[in-house]
Amino acid sequence: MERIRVPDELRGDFEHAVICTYGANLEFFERDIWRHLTSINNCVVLADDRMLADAWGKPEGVDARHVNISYVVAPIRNVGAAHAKMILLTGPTQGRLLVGSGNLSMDGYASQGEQFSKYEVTSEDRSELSAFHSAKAFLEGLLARGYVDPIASRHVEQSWVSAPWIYASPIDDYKPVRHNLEVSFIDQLIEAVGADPVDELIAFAPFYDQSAGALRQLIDRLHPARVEVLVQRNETSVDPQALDQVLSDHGAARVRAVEAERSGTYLHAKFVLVNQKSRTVCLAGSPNLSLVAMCQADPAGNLELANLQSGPSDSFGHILTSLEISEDDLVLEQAGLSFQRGPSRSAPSMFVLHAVLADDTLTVELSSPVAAGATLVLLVAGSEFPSAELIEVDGNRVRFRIEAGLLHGAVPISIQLQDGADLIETTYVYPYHAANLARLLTGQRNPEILRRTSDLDLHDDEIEQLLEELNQVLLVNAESVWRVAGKEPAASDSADGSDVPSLRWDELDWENLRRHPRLAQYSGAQSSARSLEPTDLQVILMAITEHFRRGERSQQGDIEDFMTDLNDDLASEVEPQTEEEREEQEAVWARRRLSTETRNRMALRKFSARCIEGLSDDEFLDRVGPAVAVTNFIIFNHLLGLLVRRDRFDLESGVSFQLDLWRFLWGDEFSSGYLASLDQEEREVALRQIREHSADVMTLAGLFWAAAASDELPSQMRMRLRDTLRLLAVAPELGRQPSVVTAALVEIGSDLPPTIDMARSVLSLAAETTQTELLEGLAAAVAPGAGGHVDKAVVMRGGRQERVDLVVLEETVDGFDSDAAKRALTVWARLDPGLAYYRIDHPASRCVAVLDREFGECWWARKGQGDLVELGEIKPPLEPWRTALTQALVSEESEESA
Amino acid sequence: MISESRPQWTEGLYRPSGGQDHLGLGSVSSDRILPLLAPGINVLTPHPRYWSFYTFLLDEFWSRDLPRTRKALSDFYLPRECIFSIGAQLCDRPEHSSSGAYGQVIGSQKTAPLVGHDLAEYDPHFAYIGNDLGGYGYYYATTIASMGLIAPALPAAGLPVDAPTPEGKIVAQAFRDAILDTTYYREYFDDDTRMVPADVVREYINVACLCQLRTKQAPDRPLLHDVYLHGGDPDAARARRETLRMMADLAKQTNGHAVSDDRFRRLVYFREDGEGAVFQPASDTLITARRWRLFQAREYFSYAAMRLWRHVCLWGAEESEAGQHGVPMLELWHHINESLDSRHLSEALDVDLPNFDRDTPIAELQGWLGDAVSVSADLDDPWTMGGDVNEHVLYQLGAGITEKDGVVPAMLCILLLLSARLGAPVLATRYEDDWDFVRVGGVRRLGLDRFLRHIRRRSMSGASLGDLAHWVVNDYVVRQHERVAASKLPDDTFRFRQVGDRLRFLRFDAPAGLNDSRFNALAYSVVDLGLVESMFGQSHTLSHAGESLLKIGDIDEHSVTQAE
Repeated sequence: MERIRVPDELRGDFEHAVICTYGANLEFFERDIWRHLTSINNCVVLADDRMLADAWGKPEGVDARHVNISYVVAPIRNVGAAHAKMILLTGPTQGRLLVGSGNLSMDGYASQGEQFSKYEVTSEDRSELSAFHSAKAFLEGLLARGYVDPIASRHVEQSWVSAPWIYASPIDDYKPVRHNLEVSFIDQLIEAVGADPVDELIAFAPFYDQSAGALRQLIDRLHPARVEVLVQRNETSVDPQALDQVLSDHGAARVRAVEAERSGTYLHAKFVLVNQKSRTVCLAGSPNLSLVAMCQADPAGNLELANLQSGPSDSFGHILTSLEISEDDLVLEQAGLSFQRGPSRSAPSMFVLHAVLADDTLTVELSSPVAAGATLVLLVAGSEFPSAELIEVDGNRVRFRIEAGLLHGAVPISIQLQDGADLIETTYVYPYHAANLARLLTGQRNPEILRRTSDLDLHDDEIEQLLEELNQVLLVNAESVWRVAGKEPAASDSADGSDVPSLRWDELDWENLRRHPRLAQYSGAQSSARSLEPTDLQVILMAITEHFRRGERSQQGDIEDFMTDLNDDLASEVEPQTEEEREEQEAVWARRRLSTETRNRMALRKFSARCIEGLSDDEFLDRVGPAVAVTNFIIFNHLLGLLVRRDRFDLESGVSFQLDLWRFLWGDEFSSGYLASLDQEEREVALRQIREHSADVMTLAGLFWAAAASDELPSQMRMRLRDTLRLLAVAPELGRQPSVVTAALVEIGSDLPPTIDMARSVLSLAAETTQTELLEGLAAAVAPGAGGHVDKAVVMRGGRQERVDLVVLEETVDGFDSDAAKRALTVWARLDPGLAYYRIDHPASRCVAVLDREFGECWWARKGQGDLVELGEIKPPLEPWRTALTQALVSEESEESA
Repeated sequence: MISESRPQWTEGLYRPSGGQDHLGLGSVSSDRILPLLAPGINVLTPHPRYWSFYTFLLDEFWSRDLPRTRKALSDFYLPRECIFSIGAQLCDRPEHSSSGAYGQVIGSQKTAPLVGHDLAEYDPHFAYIGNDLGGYGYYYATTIASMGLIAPALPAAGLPVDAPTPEGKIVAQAFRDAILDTTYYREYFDDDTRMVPADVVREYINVACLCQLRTKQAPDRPLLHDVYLHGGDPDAARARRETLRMMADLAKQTNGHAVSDDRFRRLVYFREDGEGAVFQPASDTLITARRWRLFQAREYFSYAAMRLWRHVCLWGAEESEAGQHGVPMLELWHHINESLDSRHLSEALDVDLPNFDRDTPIAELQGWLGDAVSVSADLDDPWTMGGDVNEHVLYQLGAGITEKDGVVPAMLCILLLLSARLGAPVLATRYEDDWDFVRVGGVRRLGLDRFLRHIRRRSMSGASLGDLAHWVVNDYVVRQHERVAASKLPDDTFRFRQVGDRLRFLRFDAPAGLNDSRFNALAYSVVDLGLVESMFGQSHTLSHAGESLLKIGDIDEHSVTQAE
């Protein structure tokens, strides 16, 4: 049987995740598990309270950035250990449940030493529904007993509020998942085994109780004919003498050594196999072979969760065949076994139950009342929080007023109490960021990630996550509308043979759809008014607005440094000391970079293509209206600009999408653009929104940046970019607005290397004329269809020979008189006003036309016949874009240098 | 249904990886402290003439009609650096061997053996390095750019490959002037398809070699003085200038003594090397010398933590039978407690120490150590190496000792010595301007300042050496290693992991040493720049420029950064 890859099982169309674990390694969770939970907006991790206190027990906390901001981590406060291990994923139409032995840690989810059972419910198959019922009952039991604090409880409850399928009745009485809230596992196992005789009992667990009492009870109550106990040398926590005694008392028992396939793997799985005549009963999950796990129910026992399944005799053979089991019996005295006492369960005299940060108030619930007269100090990461004002002490609840902006990250807090001579420092906890977490409960997306759209303050491995969040927030194309409507687009064959969604707009109930929060939020986004509870869209837009105000604010000094320090990425390596180290480091970096970059690039292309597809789809635009179209433009334009500028998106792809985007809104030489298609009132609203969120500034900033980098682009794209530049340079909302030009230069200024002359790059691209364009222009001026080519020749200028470029008209051109010459020179001078010398030859008629600005000559002549016609002054008006760009950029540059 | 939901064994997912800096401490020095002390002079960028050579190569590339792509630059660059590297092995100028073997020539791992074959001609396309831009791409590009000679490529902003700045072109031209008349430049440089005769390489390298910057005739030398003393960010230039000035001071005072990495470390930390050389910084170099001393304190601190980490790894390898099974944490604590016995350390050091064990109060041993090294409240005082115990002696013990019980007390003594020297709260106030060098590392990377405050608190509360050892090993070794390794996932760089109440040992290559003190890089810099005759040898005579730098803090040769 194949092994299960736990992280891979976390992907799917789910909205909620509840993870139960004994210990929680949050560094591992954020580094490698969370990215698999991209569709989840409400994630709760419930862990044993003592284990969590131990993990959080130090001022520096854990190396995790999002604890209790973007997901909930809460202690389970039962008397015994909260030892259950479960991953419950739920969505509107489906669920997945993993119940097993692995804790939230690298070893628990990614070693070879654990077991999990997987259950699934889909809209087609609900046969495993009862497993979810058991998981739900377990969680509800924890909540009902008050083991979980109110905030985390709300998040747990939410996981089935939007999963209506969980309320359906199971199809049979089979209950493969069991907990011990009411009945011990041994009782449940005995019941499942029934009255038929037991041929053999096979048991493995890494932990026993001191007297091996749980095993003794299993044997005494099951009366197996044979007993086989599997033990991992030097690992299994068991008193060898106690085990030997239990097995000797049975008389037909043996012990064999067991190892995993991969040497050195710690076997942390726990299972009991009960073989009967024609079937096997299997109990596997979190309970060890200890009395508190196996033989007692809550509250005397631990909290445990297990799979209790039965089937034909060979149903569970794979559990054993995946192990290396010794042939011979193990001599217990030589197996390096000893009973390891578990960690102490005694609680400190005072600890923090939980803390909540709401606006500027931090409320801390302590485990016991604060003595009158005690002084309290709020500690953050081991230091006194600056300017924290104690505003209330009410029993065991204390409240501080703080500058909330200083606690914008995941930082552990603690309370120091001085009561007379006694000085107590509580354990550390991560405060719940109430507003952020509340949003996640309402089906809204992760505000912490969304806000980072504005400045791309993301690790490389968070880009994919941001795009997923945006996918969940924005309605980018017809398909996303369709999904909001709860419909799966039917597939139809496309021209290239692939399946594409077949969308029929008239199947959608638009009246209802417009009230859907995902669509309704766009109307709010157009308004400047701010509600108390901003929508996901407003979170993004407000962050974008903030992006342009950031420069106005001063830095936070030491506290900012302190928070920065807490976000220090420990993955950065030391400077190599030798060439060998340097090469090794390069190889590691390249591997990491490639893996992340490939994922990001694919995600970016996919997301961008969907956005552009939506903005190119007239029917989609008609249906969703300007609120959606313009808002999407603002966000996408902002994001793309930053991605290209920060080198997070390859230049060619990024600029290609940018050009499509700008063409959509501002138009191009063939179309007037979406903005122009709006009626007066809509257009004013759209423009107000664009200005409010500086989408005009970001357009020019993106355009200037792309122009500066345009040498790297293929020539066709360069020319597209040039045409866009010329067009937008004279757009009244963009290039004609000096303040917008200035703001755009400021926006890119800090990212621009000093060696790049932005004005020159932009003007140079705008002025570029291809040879084909020149020849076509001249042909149009001379005669329709006239051909020609550019050549070089040595001519006399100012009495000296000089090698010059010239245009040679082909023989097929029928005549080249002085009028045609003047028209052609005028066109050339307009296309390329920077030249000093222009010359057009027509060998067939022996005619020549010259405009020499340096020597003030402009004439047409027919060689050999003495015909010479002075053509007078040729000074075509500068094209508007040229004037506009020169004024905007050159004057800007001189002001800056001044 | 059963077949679908039966318990399945989990799959192991992560790929083991070597990794470096397993406690995240080394990068504090290389990324945060040293860029403030000697910006641009890194361990692997010691030779100033590479500034000229690489800038020259870029200038030559840009002067040709070649595609402006990294590939084209690489194709142009590699054969020319290859010949340069081969040449540096053939150089027979006296400056090349005046201070012993001339080290850190890029590509020498491959070109030195090649030259050993005494070939008649050399192939410019010999594969001498793995990077497409050779030593420039690997090591020098960033530092040369930081001093203003190179504009780094930024394709997204229209600069497809690195290019020399106007200042860079001046330096490039000076290098070109040096080699202009060589046969190699005239006849072979342009065509990299031709084999280059050994004599041609010799003639070229005799003027081009890194060592030839030491000669007064080198046209690029005064320009590089200027670049080193004034190039790039003004604050960085000032810091670099001050450190080079301190080096000149140190060179002058240690004239007659060959300085090495190890002796330099002692000279900046103790102000003597215990072998006769003494460094008493002049008033003008005192602040810089103080900062180098604080940096070195951080190095001893990092070493103690890393050495304890190595000890835990090696102890665990034995206890776990090379990772076959986990080891209870209790056994680790038991081992640590048992190690805390003064007899182990006395035997290892062969000196009499006061009796101590796990129950001895921290303050007691700290007090004895403080007396033994005559702790002073002045950070500029000399710190004697005369006693039996000091940080360097303990470091040497850690470097040489096998994994016996002496390691733990030795490393704790280093930490207590640091605490005795730097732990007085008044120092942080008195030397506020310098204390960032002690604070650096903060919470995540184990700042020394934070450690000093915590140890003070424990000492005042009467905690024992057992408490101290438990705290240090748990927080600064076990947890810190797990945090750092977790941050590098999916590369699995764990050497051990705590699973439940056991430590599981996974791999056993666990190096621990002091980071490079930067002496070699600084020494090559001042010697190659012609400021000091030698640092590696005994004669440290300062040149006129070196004297000028020491005396007035500058050299009056502003030829590049003031040029337009």
